[in-house]
Amino acid sequence: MEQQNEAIEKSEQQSQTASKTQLLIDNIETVIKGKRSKIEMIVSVLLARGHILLEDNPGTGKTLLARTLAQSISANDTRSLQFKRIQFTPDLLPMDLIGSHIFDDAKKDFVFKKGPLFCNVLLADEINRASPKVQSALLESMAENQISIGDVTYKLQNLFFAIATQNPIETEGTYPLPEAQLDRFFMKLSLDYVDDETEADIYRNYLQIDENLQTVKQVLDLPTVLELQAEVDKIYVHDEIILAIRNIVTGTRNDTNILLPCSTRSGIIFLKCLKAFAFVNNRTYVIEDDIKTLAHAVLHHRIIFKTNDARKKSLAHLVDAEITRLARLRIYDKPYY
Amino acid sequence: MKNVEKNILIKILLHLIFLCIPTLVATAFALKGMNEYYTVVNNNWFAQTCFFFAGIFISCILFNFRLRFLPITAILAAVLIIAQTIIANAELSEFNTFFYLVQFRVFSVLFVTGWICGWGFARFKNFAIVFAAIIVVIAVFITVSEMEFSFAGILKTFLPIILFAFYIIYMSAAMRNITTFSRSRFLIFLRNLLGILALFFLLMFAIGLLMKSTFTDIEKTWDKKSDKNEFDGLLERNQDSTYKMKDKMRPNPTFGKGKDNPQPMFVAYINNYLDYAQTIPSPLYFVSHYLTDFDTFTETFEKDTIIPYDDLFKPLPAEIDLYFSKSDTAIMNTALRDSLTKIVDVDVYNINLSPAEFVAPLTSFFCQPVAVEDNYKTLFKSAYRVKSVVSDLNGAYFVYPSRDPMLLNYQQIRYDILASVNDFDDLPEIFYNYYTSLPDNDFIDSLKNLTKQITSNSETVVEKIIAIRDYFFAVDEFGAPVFKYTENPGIPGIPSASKLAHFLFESHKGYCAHFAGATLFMLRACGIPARLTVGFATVDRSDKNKGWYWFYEDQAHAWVQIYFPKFGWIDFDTTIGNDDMEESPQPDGTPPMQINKANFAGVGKIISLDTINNLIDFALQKMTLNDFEYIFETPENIVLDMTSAKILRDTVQLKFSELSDNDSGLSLSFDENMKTLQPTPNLSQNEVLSMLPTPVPIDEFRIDVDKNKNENDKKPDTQNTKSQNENVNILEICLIIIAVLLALMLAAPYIIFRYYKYKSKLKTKNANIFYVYKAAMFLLNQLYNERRNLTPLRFAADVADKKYKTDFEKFIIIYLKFKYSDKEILTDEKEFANNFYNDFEKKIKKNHKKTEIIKRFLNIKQTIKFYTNNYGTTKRSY
Repeated sequence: MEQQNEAIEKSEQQSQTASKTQLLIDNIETVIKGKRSKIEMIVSVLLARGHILLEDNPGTGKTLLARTLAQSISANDTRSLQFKRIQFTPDLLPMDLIGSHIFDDAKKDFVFKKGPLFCNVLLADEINRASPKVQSALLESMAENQISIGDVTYKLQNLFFAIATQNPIETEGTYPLPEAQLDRFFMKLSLDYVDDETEADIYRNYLQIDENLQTVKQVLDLPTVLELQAEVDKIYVHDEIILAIRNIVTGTRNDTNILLPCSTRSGIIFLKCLKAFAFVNNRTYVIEDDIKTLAHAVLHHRIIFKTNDARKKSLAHLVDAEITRLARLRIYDKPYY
Repeated sequence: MKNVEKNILIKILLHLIFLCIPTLVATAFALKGMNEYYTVVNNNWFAQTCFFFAGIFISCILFNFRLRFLPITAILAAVLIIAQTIIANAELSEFNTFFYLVQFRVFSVLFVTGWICGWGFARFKNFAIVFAAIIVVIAVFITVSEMEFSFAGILKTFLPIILFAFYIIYMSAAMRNITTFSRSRFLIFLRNLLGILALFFLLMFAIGLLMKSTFTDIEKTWDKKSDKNEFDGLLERNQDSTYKMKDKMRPNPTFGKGKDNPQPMFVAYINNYLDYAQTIPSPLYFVSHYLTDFDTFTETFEKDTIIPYDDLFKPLPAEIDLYFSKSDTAIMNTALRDSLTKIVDVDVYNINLSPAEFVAPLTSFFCQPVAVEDNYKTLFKSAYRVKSVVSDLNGAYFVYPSRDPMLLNYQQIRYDILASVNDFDDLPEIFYNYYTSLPDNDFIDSLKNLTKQITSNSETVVEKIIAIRDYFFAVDEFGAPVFKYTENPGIPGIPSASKLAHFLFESHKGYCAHFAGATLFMLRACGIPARLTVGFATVDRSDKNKGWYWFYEDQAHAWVQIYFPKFGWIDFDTTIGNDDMEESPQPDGTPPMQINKANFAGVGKIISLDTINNLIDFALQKMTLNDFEYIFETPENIVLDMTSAKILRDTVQLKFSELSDNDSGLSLSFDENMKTLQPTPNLSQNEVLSMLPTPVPIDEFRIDVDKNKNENDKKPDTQNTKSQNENVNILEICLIIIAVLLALMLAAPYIIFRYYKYKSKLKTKNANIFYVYKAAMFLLNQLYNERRNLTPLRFAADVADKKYKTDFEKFIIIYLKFKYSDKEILTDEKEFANNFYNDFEKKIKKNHKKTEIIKRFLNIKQTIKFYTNNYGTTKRSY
């Protein structure tokens, strides 16, 4: 009985924290219509302490989404997150990103002027337009959460969430990201166009949406986000789910149509994403549907396929096989009565 | 667009390689077989296969592109009809027109068949199944109607057909599933195909091994019962597995005689030797009866009911008491009037002939059943003596060319004697007309012309006969015989045409019915009286036992007899030597001892027994004493001395004490003393009786087995029905097994469903929520037939709940929590899960009609889907 009470208490506490994420998602949805599942995934990445790459045509709401997300958790007080946006261009230099030492007249000394990278939420627009030098500077900071300039290493913020966007069609004057760098992104998402109904809805209410954008409320603050991130780590993952992740990852290694299979790191990232996604969906455990929903977004961009056919199907087949296995699975390790 | 075209081309290529070419090979084999059998298609199988190929090839290509069937086929039909009218109206000779028309029709039928096949493969979804079914049905039909039932035969004809049917069905199903083409897919496809073929052969091999004994049993029983074609062979097999000569004979496309293991029919001793060289036995053909009537329409030789001057002696040996005889003195006297005749004794030991059959050399007039020696009783069922009036001129050596100088000499002598016959003027008109009558039709006209040609250089009757013989025995310039013996001569091009004409003018291939039939009409065309005879050809295989001949099933024969005034009927056989028959592997057995000649035989009843002196008071009803027979109106009492008598009931030997009063039976005496008692025809019955010694010494006493006989008669019947019962039992068991399997298959979905439901209600420690989940999913799977490959949660939320307004999603969430969470599920959740199912089932069933539910629960295919279903989705979703 006591145990049950405890369980109830715990689940209440869980739902309280979870409702905060719901609040965040709802808040974003006031501006971004008809993309709840995508928003959930982006929030998942945020909570999994990762970074995300949005790849889509212009005008599908990438920047809007990133801005809204940032605004929802940042304001101008110190407790809030800082949001920065950089438009990547070919002539952009790493300095413009990281910052540089400038001479301070008053102190008679070189002072490090922090670049836009020193923020909590970074929107890196059209990342593939910048030179590889700039790209790698960004990606290093994403991976290490720190920046080295000369002999000084500057730590980034506790919460550093990069949202990069890139344009798939325009290839002229772009520097496509190599797979090794794509690996740094937890997810690569395509926002897609909204469905016809929502499209019309957006036209009808564009004034309202504009107004919403101007007055996006701050629903979370920095400590809360960090707290939520810590909460995500507590999500329970059943061993069968772990095995399923393992099977998918090793499956890519045994597939003859795959040139570069998934790494162990990508497996870990997948696991983190699954936990965060379960949390966002108000659960304390991961289910098979989570794997199906996230597998493509998390794993697909890390794999190099030999054929176009394999690009379309290989991963999906592996995931399907695992989902089928899990759906039929009968778990014996706990009693029902 | 380019891609689509490429796909179509690949599809056509696949169709051609995997469907059309096998069909073509199968058709080629079928056509080849048909060419050997039907002359309509006339030895042109390659061209015919090409026609078929053209049809299937063109239509397969056309219909794979999206052309309409009806208009194109209408055009094709129009073209064919126009072509036919052109051919029919072409300025050709009538025969050529007819010939080309037949050829054209064969072509059109094949082309159209190919056309329809191609269309079916390309378009019609279930065509392969229909096609295979038709092929199998045709094969079954042909097998049943034409073939001997044998294991090897079944294997040879059925296996390829079933394999083909199987292959076509599998292949077209596999083809349908190929929508896009890739190398790996093709390899998988090939691997599956090879695997399935290997599996099939393995299965067939196993079945063959396991079932071989069963098959041979069935083969035997089938063989016994089969009376498939009444014109197959000359013998018919009775139910008690004895043989009888048939009353009808027709020159048939198949003879059906060619059995691997011909049964022995009877053994005969002919006491006939060449009159000028007594050491050389002269074998005689054994006549069963004469087929003097001819049905022109069906070309059937039949028994006539009324025959002028009938000389056929046809007693039933089984109906005559042992050692008593039946004779026809009228026949004897008529036959003896001819010169160069003598009476010949023949002993016939029956092995497998029907008791109703009587065979004897020409011209028999006397029949006396005798007892078979004890040692041979198992081999020979019965025996009888025959007396025949035999002409010195008659003999099996009449026509066969022989190198033996003695026989050549004999043939020369005979030729010289018969040369004296020049006309038939002295014959009674009715007799002459009856035996020279000919049907009136085109065939006979051309036959008359042919005969005129053949006998143009012949003057006398016998010269004409020899000319006809030589015609059939002629060889061509390479030394190969013109006429050939075959048991499967085939049928003429136009089915209704005369088979005899086909034999005589075209194929030159036939068996005895063809040879004898043609010879008969040729002789009659010359004005020579002749008749068709069926019986057994005598083959002199060895001179180990002179005068003894063994007759096998395959020696059943038809030949011609010619009437020579003053010399009587003479056998005349023009059937060219069938090597198989003459070199019959069947050996001559050891002949039995010469027949015991009973000096005294008496039929009567025992009045009293004297067991001390071994005497019997016997009421004699019938007696034969040294071939003189006496029948007593009132039984005469005589005393029999049984001291040395062997008492038999059927084949069982009894003691004297086992005899009883009122036993009736046959007493026999082989005593030498009795031989001296020679009655003369003038003696009265009483005088003959007084000649008998008192008591009469008896060597054998046979008790009548009438009562037992009845029982014996019944026995084979019961055995027969028993074996039939066994067959029925096997059939029943097979049917029951099939029915049970079918029922089980149909009931399987419901049984599985009940099982899950039952398990879900059990409050076991182990998760029964799993079975609630299974039962619910299974129910949905059976009733909601749409293909789905969603995860359970998405299926519940997006499909089931929307359609049925259930709380399935909620349940699935609880279930997933139970499944994957580390925590216990909450009490209210558990309660919900426990009460969920009943309500759920009600809601779902409400949405379907009762009949629909039943129908869907019979669908095993859907159940299989449940276990093979993919729960993920291959579509991209991110």
